[in-house]
Amino acid sequence: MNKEITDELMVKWVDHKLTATEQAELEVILLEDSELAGELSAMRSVKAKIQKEIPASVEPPYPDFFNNQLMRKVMLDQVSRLPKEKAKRWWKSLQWAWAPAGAMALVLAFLAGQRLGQGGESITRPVATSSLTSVYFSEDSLNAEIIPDAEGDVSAIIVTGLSAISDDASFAEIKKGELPVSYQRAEAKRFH
Amino acid sequence: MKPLLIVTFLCFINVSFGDDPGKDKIGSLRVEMIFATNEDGDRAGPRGKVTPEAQVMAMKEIEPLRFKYYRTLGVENPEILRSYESWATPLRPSKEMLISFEPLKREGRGRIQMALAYWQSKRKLFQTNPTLVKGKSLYLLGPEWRGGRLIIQVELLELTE
Repeated sequence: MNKEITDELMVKWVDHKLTATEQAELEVILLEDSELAGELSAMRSVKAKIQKEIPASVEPPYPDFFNNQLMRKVMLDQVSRLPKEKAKRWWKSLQWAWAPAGAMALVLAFLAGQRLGQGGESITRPVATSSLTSVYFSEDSLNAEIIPDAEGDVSAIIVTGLSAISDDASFAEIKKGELPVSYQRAEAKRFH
Repeated sequence: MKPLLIVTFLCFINVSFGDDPGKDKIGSLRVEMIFATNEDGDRAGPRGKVTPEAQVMAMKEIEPLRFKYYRTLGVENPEILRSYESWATPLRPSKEMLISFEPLKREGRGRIQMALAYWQSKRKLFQTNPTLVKGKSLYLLGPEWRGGRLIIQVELLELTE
């Protein structure tokens, strides 16, 4: 049989893409040529080894950091739209009941006034900015708590799980090989 | 001929980098390393200076940053470049602990969101993206050292309009 056709069939066999006719054709060839059968089996074993060593897909660096950011923004966007839609539905459902709604509003206004008079400490403030801040860690053992201030800006990030600095470290000198590669690169760019 | 080409190429690189608007200074930070402890402030050693009272009061307002003694170990005021990563080395000359930062976006007057990363012993341990506000401090509670904790105070000093 033509060698090109045989090669094509062999490649398709390795990739499990043979049609029924091609499969039958190849089986006839293999019965006639035992050497070819060995070659085919070797090809499949090489493919299996390669698949085992190389992952099908490679994760981008810091995927959870970016995914996290994206999800938070989507969530905030949804939340920011929600009140408008809710307000529309409310408006429609209360068209038949102006009087009870008005009465309820008066009661709520009275209660809110009372709470303000007591200092207003329980009034929650928006924390939009801090809710967009996230922390990505290079190790699973690390964790952090983000503390916002009264205006919702981040005022502190409390990191736990960092390994302690040796008590012998006096920070008086630069140790050999202490600089991260990206620091050196950034400094080189800055001065050239 | 070869050296002439090399010189011309280097001049071209220099000119093109000189015009790079990404290297424009758009502001500056104040990055300070503080040692906080409940045991003995003098354990910070000779480079530890007593932290000003106003700073101490501000830190004591945040519960996890409440300690008895505070010592300032070093301060640096690095520039913020428009679109390049910059570094703060508050423990100069040591570079055991570093902060790298890069602007992400402006969020109105005196506000800028930054990509901020903490490096210890050549390794990036965490990164975050807070919005820094002119006149407000951001505190990062860092690792333990000599019976206390190291606190990194980051403040947006100036930001061009």
